[in-house]
Amino acid sequence: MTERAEAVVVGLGAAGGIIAQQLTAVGVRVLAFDKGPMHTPEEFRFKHDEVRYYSRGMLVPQLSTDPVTWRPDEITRSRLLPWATGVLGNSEPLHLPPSIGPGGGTLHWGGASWRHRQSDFTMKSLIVERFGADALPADSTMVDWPLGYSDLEPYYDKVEWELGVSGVAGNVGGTRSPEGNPVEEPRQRGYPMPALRRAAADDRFREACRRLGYQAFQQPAAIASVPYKSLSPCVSCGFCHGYLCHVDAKQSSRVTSVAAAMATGNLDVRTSSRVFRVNRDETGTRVKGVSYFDAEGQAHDVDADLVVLGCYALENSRLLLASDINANGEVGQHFMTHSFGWCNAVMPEYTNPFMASLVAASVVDELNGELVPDNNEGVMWGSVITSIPGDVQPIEAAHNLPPDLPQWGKVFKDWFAENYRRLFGIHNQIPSFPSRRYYVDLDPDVRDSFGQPALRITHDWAQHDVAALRYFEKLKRSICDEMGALQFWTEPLPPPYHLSTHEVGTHRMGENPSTSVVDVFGESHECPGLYVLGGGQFPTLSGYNPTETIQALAYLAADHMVEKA
Amino acid sequence: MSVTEPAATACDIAAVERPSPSQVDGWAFLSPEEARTIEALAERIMPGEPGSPGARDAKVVRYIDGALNEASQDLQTSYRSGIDDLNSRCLSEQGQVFAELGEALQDQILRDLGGTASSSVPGADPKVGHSLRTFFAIVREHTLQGMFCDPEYGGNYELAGWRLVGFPGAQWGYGPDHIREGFDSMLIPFKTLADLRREHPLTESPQAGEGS
Repeated sequence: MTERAEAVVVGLGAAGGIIAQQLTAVGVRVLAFDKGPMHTPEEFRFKHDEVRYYSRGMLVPQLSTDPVTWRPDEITRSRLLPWATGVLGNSEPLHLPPSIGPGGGTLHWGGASWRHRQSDFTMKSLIVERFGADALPADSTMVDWPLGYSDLEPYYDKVEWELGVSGVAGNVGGTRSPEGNPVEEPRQRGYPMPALRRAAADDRFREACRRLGYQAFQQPAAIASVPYKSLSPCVSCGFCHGYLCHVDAKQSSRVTSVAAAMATGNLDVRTSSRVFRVNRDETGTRVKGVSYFDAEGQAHDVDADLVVLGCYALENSRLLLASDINANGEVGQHFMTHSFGWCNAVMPEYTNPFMASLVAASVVDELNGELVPDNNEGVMWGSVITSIPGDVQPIEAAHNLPPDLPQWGKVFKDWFAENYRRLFGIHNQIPSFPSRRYYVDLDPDVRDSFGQPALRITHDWAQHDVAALRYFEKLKRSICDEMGALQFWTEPLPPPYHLSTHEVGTHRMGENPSTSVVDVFGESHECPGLYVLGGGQFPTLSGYNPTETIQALAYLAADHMVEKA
Repeated sequence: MSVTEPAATACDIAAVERPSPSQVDGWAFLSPEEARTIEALAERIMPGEPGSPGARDAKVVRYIDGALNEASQDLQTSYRSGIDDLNSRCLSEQGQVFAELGEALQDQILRDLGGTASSSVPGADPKVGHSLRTFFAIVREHTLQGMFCDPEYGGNYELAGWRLVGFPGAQWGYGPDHIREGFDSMLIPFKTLADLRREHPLTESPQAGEGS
């Protein structure tokens, strides 16, 4: 007798957690699967371990058990992510798929929490209007979103007030606040929590921006600054991005929506369980349930009329492909990600970059998106410029040293001893453009230990990425100069990585079932009853971190599910 | 934590295994000779001098030995053959194994490897196999980890690595008095995971107050 569930949720991250909470709140019994373990109170409390979480990436899926391959183009043979297979195996957990276990990516995320602006929903139209129909490459697959800011505004509000976001509003109902974002879209009310304390040198960044004519403001953060619902205030421990939170300040679905769902008694969570197939009924037109491997590796089926995939754009896409739910060929297409243009500098005073969280930072938003000024460099869409004042531990810092510095010996050691405490950084988030050339599919050769096909990423940085990186590098350099930087260096341009934890597009939303995978509510066109949620829903990528929009879309999807039930 | 669930499955118990007390005096994986070689190699990567601790002071080799016995078991062969290759090279060029050579000669050997860069680096000996260069890169990465790990991993002995760079370690949090430009972090009592476990045991509520 096959097990039956009222609703199945796969992945309890940003989106899955919200669905679990919304469904259980109205009495639906939800069976949730997560590939990772239920992290223990001990792991949360004593998380200050750079070797465990940075060097060994113990929160993220290891390539040895969850292989992902990459190639720059269709001619080159794919291989296991080369930027993440360092000499010791996994390296740079930021540039791997996000953490697993209930909480998902929100277990370890920095917590930058942004709304799109209206322009982010009409990127295609705005670019064509400003630069002409021929501005985008012939193989561009860029389209506008089928919804806009006013559709999502109530859901953004819900994310910020239900789950908790701290910050300073820039535009409440049309009234501008000089402390907030000067280009913010109007919002019905401000943030429920005041801004976080920023690390030491961030005021120097703000002053430099001001002198250069930019208004830097507090980055909105999914981190509590005061007690708020299930969250406790941040203590600025400096082990933030990439780490669990030891005081429940970080707005992780684990301590917000998943905890609330569990409290109803309607949520059954199966951890270390990997769903490997979504099943359809005999007619092939409706979802029937899922098949999964339990913690011992035994395969089971579960039947359900409602299945929600929330295991990240990449894994969602891999599952759909492995389940052969891709009649129109759109699954896996339109792969987009961010390049960051990480840059670092040495400041004249101690910056103490190991205090405070990464996202307690300042942002210049006036050159983002369509606001990027006219230029001769081919930049058609801009980016945020965000400070990195804190959250830098020694081993990670040692991975981001000036390229001309000797890599070992006395000069290396003395430089690091002298300058670790003076480090400061700035980054962008340059969105890549969707194209027929860049997509994900199933690797024909590589399989995981369960015999499941690995995801293969076909992506390379394109002309616009390079142009935008170059354009913004000059700006970051000038800000650092204005700050009094003694040294300045950047990561390679373009960068060696092709994952940023901000992958989107690969199961995009649309009103036309032949050119999209899901509708505006995240429901599969091809397989009713199946919802595919997350960044994969995005038709385009903005200069902002995607999570708050993912969460807003999940609340929208949940409303729709509950209505239909 | 508001959510409690027993960590019941084999996958859940992915805890780090720390060297047991019985392994403190002996070596978990390396032979004493191999340990001598690695200690000398790590010391060239992070050389110590009076007032400025290096890899030997931080007992980086203890970290590496522990790592090879747990998280980096897949590198055991790389280490064995890397040490052999390095010593063969030293014997044929200088008549002694690496650990017996003076520091200047050791540095010269490592410079001839081209450090951790590719063979296109000026000065790199093109006859040096890729594997020896990779071995050096592995040891370099392990040395960074062994310098700056929490001391319960065996390295960063007496917080030598953290004191070198001014990183106060596993702090519960920082307060407004600390989070100031120019503040000297050496004024804060440095903390380890063991300190955190002792000072903030799980029996107390999450909000134990700000600062160290």
